[in-house]
Amino acid sequence: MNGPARIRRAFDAAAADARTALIAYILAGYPTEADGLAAAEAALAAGADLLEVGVPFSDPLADGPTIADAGRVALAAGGGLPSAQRLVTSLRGRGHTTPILVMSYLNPLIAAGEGQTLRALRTAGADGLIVPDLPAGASPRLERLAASLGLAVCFLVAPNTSRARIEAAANATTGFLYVVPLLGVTGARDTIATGARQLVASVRELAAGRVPVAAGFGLSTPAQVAALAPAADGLIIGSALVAAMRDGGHQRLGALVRSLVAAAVHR
Amino acid sequence: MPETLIPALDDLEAAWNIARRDSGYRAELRRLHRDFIGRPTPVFAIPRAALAERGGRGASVWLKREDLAHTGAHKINNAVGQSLLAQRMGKPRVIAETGAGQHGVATATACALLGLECIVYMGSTDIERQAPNVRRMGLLGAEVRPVTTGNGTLRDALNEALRDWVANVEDTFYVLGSAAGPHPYPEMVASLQEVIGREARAQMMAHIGRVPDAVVACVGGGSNAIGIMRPFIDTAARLIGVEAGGRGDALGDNAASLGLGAPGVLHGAFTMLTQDAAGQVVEPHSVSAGLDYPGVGPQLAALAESGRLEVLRATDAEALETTTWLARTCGIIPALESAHAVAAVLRMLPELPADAHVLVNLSGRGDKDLGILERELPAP
Repeated sequence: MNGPARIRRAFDAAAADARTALIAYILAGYPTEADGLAAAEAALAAGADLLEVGVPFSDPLADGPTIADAGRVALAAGGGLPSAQRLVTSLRGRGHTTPILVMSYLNPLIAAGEGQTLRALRTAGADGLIVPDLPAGASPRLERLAASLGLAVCFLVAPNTSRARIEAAANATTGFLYVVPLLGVTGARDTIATGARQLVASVRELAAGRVPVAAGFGLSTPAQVAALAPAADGLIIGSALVAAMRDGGHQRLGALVRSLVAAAVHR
Repeated sequence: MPETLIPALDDLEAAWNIARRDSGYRAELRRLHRDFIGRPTPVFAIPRAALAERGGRGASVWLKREDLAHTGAHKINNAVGQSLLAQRMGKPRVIAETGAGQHGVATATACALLGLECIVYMGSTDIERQAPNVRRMGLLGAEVRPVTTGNGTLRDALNEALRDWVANVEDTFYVLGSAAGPHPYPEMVASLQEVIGREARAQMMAHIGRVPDAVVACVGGGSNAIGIMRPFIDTAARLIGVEAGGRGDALGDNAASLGLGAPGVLHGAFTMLTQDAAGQVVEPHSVSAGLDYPGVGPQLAALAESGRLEVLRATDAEALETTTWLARTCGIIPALESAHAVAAVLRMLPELPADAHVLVNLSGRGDKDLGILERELPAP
């Protein structure tokens, strides 16, 4: 099954269960390559509907301190795109069929030539890409390449994105449309940004069923997930899982994912 | 670039395109150039006797004295131009990144004049090596925010400034210091720095009746280089960029993104980067804090690729030696950055014919480097 179809199916399955899909972000290679694999398996065992595999990068300008600091640790331990690719290969080798999206800044994807790199990611078993520093339309070549390989691409929209650009992002997106409900970088916030729920709802209306709509950045607690769940097809948790991994290893991460999945059930 | 910054970059491009054609903006910029910055800065010929010491056979070396601009470097040209634009756009809060501190001081200066709040992100390593500039920014009323992520240098400061901008995009203007980063910055900064080359071209015509045989500048991000070179691109003058050769050619030992790097995307620009095979950007090294940017302005990368720009390197040791030499023979203490350009010219000197004229951008003065010089040079 190609990437876009597998991603779509995961959202549909969650919806059929009256749940919002829970998307778990795992930083590959953090704090070591083996830990990254343990973290991913813990998230899957706890019921995550989709997995984002984050690639550590030297200049993570869309990330707050939690992921940026962890990324430095992972890089120092030999992390990077090759190690993230090994993580995907291992997960598929162990029989996991959950959709996996690789989240990487643009430069690691193009350093060795995007054709070769995207093909290798698809062969490893990745279903899609999220590139936080690539706006829709900025690299038609990458979009075409991904499409020809059956790799989904997810574009991001923010509170200040114009209606026309949301339309463009929805049209270019072949995975899920990623709504960043705040102006700022990744990282846990005490409260959900004002207007977040409305933003997600209005983007979902604009997307009009073309692609699922998921929100991420700033979400960390079951209460926040419960509050946003009715508005979104999916919710993405990143920094909170990286922090759980940092403070309590994959056991704590698994426990947090379990509580987040439970909070995403529609009531 | 993250999607959040796309509207801000679009707004900036639109505002810049109006301002650059607006007679009011241009007149105000001209007035500030003349009365605040002290433009035009002169060109000065290094004494023949001094050049003969270094194997010169009669060729002339002219220094474009950007070290005499207010605040001591060419950075003020850009800072004043962008801060004026911030004021026009009604953005009360200005942020900037700085490496050596020159761009931070220049932005703090422009903001003080124009009544704008100014926050400067500076790597903690750079804060240590450029302490006097940190104090100057404080005196000018700017807040210096130390950046401890990464290696605490220029690119980390730039990352942090971009993060601030993402979070405060509505009321904040980002004054980027080099002809690098996302569009429209490379074009806008090059336009604001082009005054260096326009003046120099007219001055050389007045002094020698023709354009020089070569125009030389140091290259970090490249704003002083594109600034002096752009008005000479359509002439026969050789264009020579001098990168920081640091302590050697191995990855991480220099800041030679043009000469030793590979193409990639950083800070919203497709350009040459110091990076490893997996696309991780590697921290560059240079004795001068203003050259250790891992990328380079995209215009210079294009000029180098087309062969119009020749790319050389000068090492830490050459830059330090040249600083001492210029201080003792000309009474000019150059910024370590600018000393790289002069060092490359000194190396070429024995090969230059007697009637050759070389124009070098002396992009800044070296007072800020006294701490480094004290540490790196044997006591006199």
